[in-house]
Amino acid sequence: MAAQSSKTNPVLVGVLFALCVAAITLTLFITPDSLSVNLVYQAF
Amino acid sequence: MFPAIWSNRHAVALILVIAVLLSLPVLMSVAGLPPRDRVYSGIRVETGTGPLDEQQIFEEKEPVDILFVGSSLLVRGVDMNYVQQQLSAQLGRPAKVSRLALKWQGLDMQYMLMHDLLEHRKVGMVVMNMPTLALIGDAPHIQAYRWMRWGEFPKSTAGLPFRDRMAIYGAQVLGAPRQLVNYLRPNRLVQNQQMVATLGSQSEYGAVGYFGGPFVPEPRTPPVISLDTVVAHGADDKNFDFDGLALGPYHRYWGRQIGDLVKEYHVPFVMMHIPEDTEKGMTRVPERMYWPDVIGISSAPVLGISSAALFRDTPASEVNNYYYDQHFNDNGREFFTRAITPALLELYAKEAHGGAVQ
Repeated sequence: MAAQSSKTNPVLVGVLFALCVAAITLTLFITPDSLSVNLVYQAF
Repeated sequence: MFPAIWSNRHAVALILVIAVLLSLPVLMSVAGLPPRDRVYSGIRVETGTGPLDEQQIFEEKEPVDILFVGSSLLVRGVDMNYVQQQLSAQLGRPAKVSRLALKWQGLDMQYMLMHDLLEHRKVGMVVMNMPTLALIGDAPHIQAYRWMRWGEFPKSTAGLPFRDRMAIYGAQVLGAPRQLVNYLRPNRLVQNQQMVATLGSQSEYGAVGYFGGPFVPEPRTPPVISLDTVVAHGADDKNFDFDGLALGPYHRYWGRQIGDLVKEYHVPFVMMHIPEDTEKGMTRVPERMYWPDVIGISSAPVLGISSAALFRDTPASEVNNYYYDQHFNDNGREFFTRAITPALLELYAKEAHGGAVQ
């Protein structure tokens, strides 16, 4: 695993990690009602 | 173990996918949003009156004498045809009464609907039902992701705190992929007028008993109610209780925006309470706040009839026959409409003909 991970530029991994954190943080701002109704009940 | 990221190319691809998804509302705004006149047809027809709202905002052109704006309580609470008929008789000409509403409550939603219509049509008077305790929390409307698009209303959202703007942006991110589809295939207008009308009236709930019970037809002629008791005379009015659970800052903000909209368009504005099933026996009209203060228009009238006054001639055991849940069925809608219409018409005569918004 270590050998395979080393193929990826750590900066890219850092950027990806930051984007994931941003996405998760954004979901914290969305009301749980919106998430449950929109994603489960209405979906698209 | 298989690595989560197996190459730089893979990492870049993942970064692009997430970055595009997160920034899609902004990218679409920069590229040019699809026309707003199809924004309400993106709402699933099962969830309400979007097609009727859209038709009234973007398709119809003639002036509106009285515009009702609200939530599902309004949809099931007021018979627009009856009000229109009575107003026509009062004016001696065919009157136009319209209603904009979506399911679930929220002053952000009511602001957007009202804003969209005032941009396109001349209105004589706006009547709005304000949030009840059914509005839980202090966040964007459940369907905000359908009609609140980034960059469209920067002026009205500019004063919101960072947290609330993030909540709106979160909703926009949630809705952006579906909005993106509009570039390829615009939302279809519902052409079937019968279906538009049916969706708009939510008539499937008309002859439904209380929480699924049998529907019992009831008298629909309300008692005569003194007009003086229907209009609130200040925050201390004995027929109203304005000390309910206060709205949070997010919805209070939109209340103020609604007030600003009223002033911008110089349109007379009235707020109206629609009784819910839980108000049975109450002798005062329960409101969450003193709304004229919330919207910033001290002269804006508040209308309401307490449940006790409305059902004073109805046996307590039969009051639930006027509801199918918190909403009125057809018994309640006709009963309440006939009780409140005289006050509405009197206010229209006063406000829309010479009444200036202060």
